Amino acid sequence: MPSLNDLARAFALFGAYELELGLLLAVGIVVLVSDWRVSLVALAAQYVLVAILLSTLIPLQIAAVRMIAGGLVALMFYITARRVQPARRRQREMPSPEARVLTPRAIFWTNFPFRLIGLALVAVGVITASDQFVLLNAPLLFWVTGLWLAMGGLLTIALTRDALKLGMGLLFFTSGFGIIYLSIDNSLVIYALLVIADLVIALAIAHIASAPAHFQGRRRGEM
Amino acid sequence: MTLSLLLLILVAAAVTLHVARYWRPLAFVTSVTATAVLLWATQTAAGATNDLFGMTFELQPLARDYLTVALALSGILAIATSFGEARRTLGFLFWSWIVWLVALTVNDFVIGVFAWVSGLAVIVIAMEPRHTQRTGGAAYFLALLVISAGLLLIGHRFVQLFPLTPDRFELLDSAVLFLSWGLGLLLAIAPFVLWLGPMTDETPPPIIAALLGLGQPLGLWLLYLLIGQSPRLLEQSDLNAIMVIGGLGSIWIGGALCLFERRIGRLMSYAGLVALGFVLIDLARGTLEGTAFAVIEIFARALSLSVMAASIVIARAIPNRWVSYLALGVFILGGLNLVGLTPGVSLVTRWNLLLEFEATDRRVFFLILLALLGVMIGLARYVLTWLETLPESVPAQENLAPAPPPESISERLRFRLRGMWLDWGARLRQRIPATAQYAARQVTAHWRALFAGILLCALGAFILWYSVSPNLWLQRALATAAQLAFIR
Repeated sequence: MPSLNDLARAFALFGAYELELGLLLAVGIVVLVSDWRVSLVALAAQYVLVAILLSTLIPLQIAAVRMIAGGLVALMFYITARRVQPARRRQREMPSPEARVLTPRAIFWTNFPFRLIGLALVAVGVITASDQFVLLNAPLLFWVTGLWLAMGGLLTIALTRDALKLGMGLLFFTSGFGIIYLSIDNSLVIYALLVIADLVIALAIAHIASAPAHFQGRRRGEM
Repeated sequence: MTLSLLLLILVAAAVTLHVARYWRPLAFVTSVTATAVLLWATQTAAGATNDLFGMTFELQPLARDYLTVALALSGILAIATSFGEARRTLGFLFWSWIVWLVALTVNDFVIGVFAWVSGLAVIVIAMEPRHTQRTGGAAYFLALLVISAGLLLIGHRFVQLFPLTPDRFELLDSAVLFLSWGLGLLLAIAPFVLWLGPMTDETPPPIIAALLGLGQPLGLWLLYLLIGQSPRLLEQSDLNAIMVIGGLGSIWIGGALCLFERRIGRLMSYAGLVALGFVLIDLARGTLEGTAFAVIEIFARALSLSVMAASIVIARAIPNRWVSYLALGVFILGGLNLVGLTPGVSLVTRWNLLLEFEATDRRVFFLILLALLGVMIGLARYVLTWLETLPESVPAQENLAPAPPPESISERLRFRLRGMWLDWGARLRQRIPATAQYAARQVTAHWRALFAGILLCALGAFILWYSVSPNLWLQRALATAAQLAFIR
């Protein structure tokens, strides 16, 4: 059975360059790829990479907790997606008008080139912002990485119409925020609360994604 | 009673209600019992400080008053919900209070923010998405919660660092910026009102009342907890000016949106936004009187939203003409109280502020009056729509034809025993006067309408009593607000 030392050795294989590249790809995949399986893998990879990055700030045992939380979140999303997707397929096959109304059109509001340009603009914005402004003297690596994850998450939230994808964007945002905050305030309470928050967010998103729709033909709130 | 015991009672109440929701009479009885027990527990909870993991928990007098009012209103909403067919949201009216109690008693801003936001996130589960697998108001509200919590924490970090370098006032400015963004987003203060409409589209009225009327003011409580710990946040920054601008913007935008709105969820939220604007302006005065007026405004807002939500839920649940008329009357009273037009305490607090504007800037005064007129018009239009949809008198249900006698021996035996039981009951009833028998039959058949009517009458009477006893409320608000750290 691998010990904590093995984990430390495995983490040591990743330098700053590999971490940045990995997180760059993870955000790119979540923003650009519609398939939920690929996005889920990117989300899980993001959790591992962030845990590696945070292990330079906080003890390894504690950083590994985020990885475990990430695994739980990915599991929750996987189960929810598996429940939702067959229903979606059935709805597409059903020719009834109600099913057509309820069937989602696509995961994103916009097409691939628009998302690619949006991602490029966000990348330029992050580079420019991190070059000109640093929040409370945070180390540059953490500031850039945190900003990239947070902005990538916000972009995903803005572009998607799918609840699960929005949840992924939200978790990218919390990861980015966690990196930035821990680099300016090395508080374990905040770290623990962020891990708990990730689980609560995943739970709420799983509920929203799988809740039955209340389509009543009239707008809610009208008598 | 200790705070931990109060917390345990809250958990027990929420779990019991969540389980009892499946059977309507049980849900009703549990709602009433849970409300009574929680009110008793809050009143007997000790004000002593408790230390846990280096944090201090204390139920301050104002927090106790707020908790009492909030639990009473949550209980009223739960009782009203228990009359309806859809009772899924019943437990959620109390689930959030488990963490909100932590936010109300803890002396740590970070824990308070996490507890507050967690309570709001729990409410997301009570929302009902309107379209399958699409992000709607509920999902965006969740996203907003996370983003604003992050902003609040960063703002707090700036406040923490300021005493280390007291000459760097830009730290305070940054703190105010982040805190304003975070709170502005969560309280939907102008110009951050965009999420309010889509969120309320997916939320049942009782949950809207609990979220906006009871949950939102906790953010202001946390802000003033932070100001109490770092008074320079108020003294050396533009926080008060930001609150005045945000308050005025909320009043105008809320009034304008109410004018064109017919959906009750949105109407309630926009009308609540107008009232929130007055709260912010009262708080921005920075005096004891201003804070006491803000406390009264917060209470009036919570009461009005809860009364409106309860009357709507009852009117939808019980298709009885006189109950609908009663609900409509109580709804109008709640609406008038929200606008500040019921004579008494609401009018006093609202007009105190308005006259101040009339003396300083007449344009602002008239624009606020126009915004209030917008809310009035929105409410009047909704009332007219309600009047159009009032149910006709339901004819008395005809007696069903007697069932044929059963064929199997066991069924016959049961039939005979039941006949004997009914016969015994009929002979016993003959001794009871006919009027009492009639009353008992009517109560059994229409218990929902009866209790709903009692609840509505009680709510209406309370609003009237609350309105005509301004001194009582003002003195209480002044006494409790004077003990707040930032006032001291």
